[in-house]
Amino acid sequence: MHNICKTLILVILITICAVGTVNAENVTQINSLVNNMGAFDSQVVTIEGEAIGEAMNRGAYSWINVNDGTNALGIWLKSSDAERIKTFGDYKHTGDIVRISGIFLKNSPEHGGDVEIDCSSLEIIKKGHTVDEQLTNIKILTATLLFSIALTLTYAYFRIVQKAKNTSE
Amino acid sequence: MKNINAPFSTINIISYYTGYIVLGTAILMFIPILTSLILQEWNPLLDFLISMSVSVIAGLSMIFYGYETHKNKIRVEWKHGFIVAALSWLILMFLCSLPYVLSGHAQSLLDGCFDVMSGFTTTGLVLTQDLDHLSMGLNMWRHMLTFIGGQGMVVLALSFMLKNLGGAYKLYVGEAKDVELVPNVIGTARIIWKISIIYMIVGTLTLWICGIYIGLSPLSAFFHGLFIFESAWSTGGFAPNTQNIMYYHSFAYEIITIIFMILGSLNFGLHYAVWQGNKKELIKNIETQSFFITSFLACAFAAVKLSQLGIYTDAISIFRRVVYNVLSAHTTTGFGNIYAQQFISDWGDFGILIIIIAMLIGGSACSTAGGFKGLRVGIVFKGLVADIKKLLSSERSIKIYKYHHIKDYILTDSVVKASALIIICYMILFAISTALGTFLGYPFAEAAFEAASVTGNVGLSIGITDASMPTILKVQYIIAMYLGRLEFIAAFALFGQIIGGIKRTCITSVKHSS
Repeated sequence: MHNICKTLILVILITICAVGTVNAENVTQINSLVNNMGAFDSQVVTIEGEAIGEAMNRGAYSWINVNDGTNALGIWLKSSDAERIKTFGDYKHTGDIVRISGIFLKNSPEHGGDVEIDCSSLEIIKKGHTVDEQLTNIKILTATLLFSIALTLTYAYFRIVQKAKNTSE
Repeated sequence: MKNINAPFSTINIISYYTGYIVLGTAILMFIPILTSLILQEWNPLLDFLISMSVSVIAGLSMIFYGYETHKNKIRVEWKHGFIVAALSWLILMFLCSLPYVLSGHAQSLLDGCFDVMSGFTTTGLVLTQDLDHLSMGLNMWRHMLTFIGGQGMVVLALSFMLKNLGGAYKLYVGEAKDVELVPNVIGTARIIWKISIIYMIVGTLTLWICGIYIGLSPLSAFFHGLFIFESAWSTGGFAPNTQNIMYYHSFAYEIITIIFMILGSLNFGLHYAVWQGNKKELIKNIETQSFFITSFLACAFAAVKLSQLGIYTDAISIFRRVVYNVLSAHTTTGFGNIYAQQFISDWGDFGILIIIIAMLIGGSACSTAGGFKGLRVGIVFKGLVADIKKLLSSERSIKIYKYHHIKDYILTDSVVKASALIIICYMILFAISTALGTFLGYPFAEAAFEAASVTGNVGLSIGITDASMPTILKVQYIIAMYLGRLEFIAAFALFGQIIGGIKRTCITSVKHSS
């Protein structure tokens, strides 16, 4: 009986741990949230994606926007959490990849019906970086060649216009 | 002035003036070039250098080809004006899409052309990929296109390039603008630009301050302010980020955009009249009356229905999510602060119907807005009322009916007929686009929503517009945006000329062979 109890407790513990692990890994795509708003409304969800644009500080709390490649969503979080995100995605940067857990709201009463996640935990999975811009020789050559032709034609145009003006005078 | 009807002179005239409009647009590429240079975005800098060079070469080649027009002072006829306007838009669609394609953000030339036509026609639908990582240079170009498209490329060329042009008015009307603010058409074009530039300064400044207040950095707030103003004023609907207006999470930002999108949807003639001190025009004008009645009814019906459904329960949510989107649809702006999917999941058939009607009616004639315009709705409605009154009154009594649009006009049968014809053309285009959407497997309500959005040059999407949608639908939407913006006549003149040219060539070749 003692052994059975021990086994049962072990099984329950393993199950709880396993469920906990699944929840942490159970990342929902933003498009799934958007397509099934009713089902996810007021539920705790976890998303992963790139922090884009910039943080918009509104006092103790801030807004950030996260894009996971399927869609983008607004996150309402503590300003101290927002400050942990060092790089936001734009043309010159790949933003920090963040994992966000919180309550998904399809019609936030606090924010005039906004669709958002009220963040309860933020984890930076991967740090962002500056994008190294590569210029190809073909592009440089094409630009130079076409620009030269355009300049020559412009010069020819002004010559013709000037000539026409002189003739009319 | 000569009036030569030979086909070669027609081609020369069209080539000459179209060349100038292309050249004018090419010169505008200096602005994104400068933006890229200042912000050290080297790839976009090269993309714009290539695109500008190609456009300059194309524009100058066309001017050279048609130079006889200038030398012989050949007079521009109505058909030339219409064809030049229609052809310029098509050529510029290809040339202006080059930066999109070169950037790699457009999956194909067709997608690039779609976005350019969407910008020019102030529609605002987007196929460009990964908006959140777009360069500032390309963003500048996107928003410039929609801003210039709102005022009109021909208007731009008339304002700054084509001086002493005999047929200026014909080119101007070809672009579906017919208001004469001053007797001189070039003066009118310049006033249109003056009004837009003054609003641009005020609007950008307001949004810039608001942007800083809501937490954007000063530089970013400036660019966001400029871009969002350009979109709001031109009733375009583009935004620099994927989430459109949702990106800002700000009621204040939304209020400012509402003000500018309503202002943008009003007739330039009305702006000018008010600026001249004639404030009563705001109340007396048939277009403002029509706009405020239809927008009030649309907002009220949508708000009541959505609160009945329990989607939005408090006044602020109703204003921000319902009134905002209905006004965005009615002014044909296309700014959205809800996800496309929410129209399907939350708004229901009645909500979608309200949005469709609002999108089709649109803003004012000779404004930056699309749709079949409040002026035409007002005229047809008054015509209907007048006909009923005529039926009920004695046959011997003759009453003259009038409508007020800047000044008083007599409501003649021909005016009502002309307005009704354009409305019918819009409805046919809407029906064709809806039918194609349903043929390709989209549900009727969704197909109709997207069709109204492209026909009315709105830009709200219910989710159909996507890079993966069928090619034939992309082409149809491009045609619908183009026809809707030019209000059919100019495009029909171009098609007629092309068909006539083909016919003549065929007849000539048959004669030669026999």
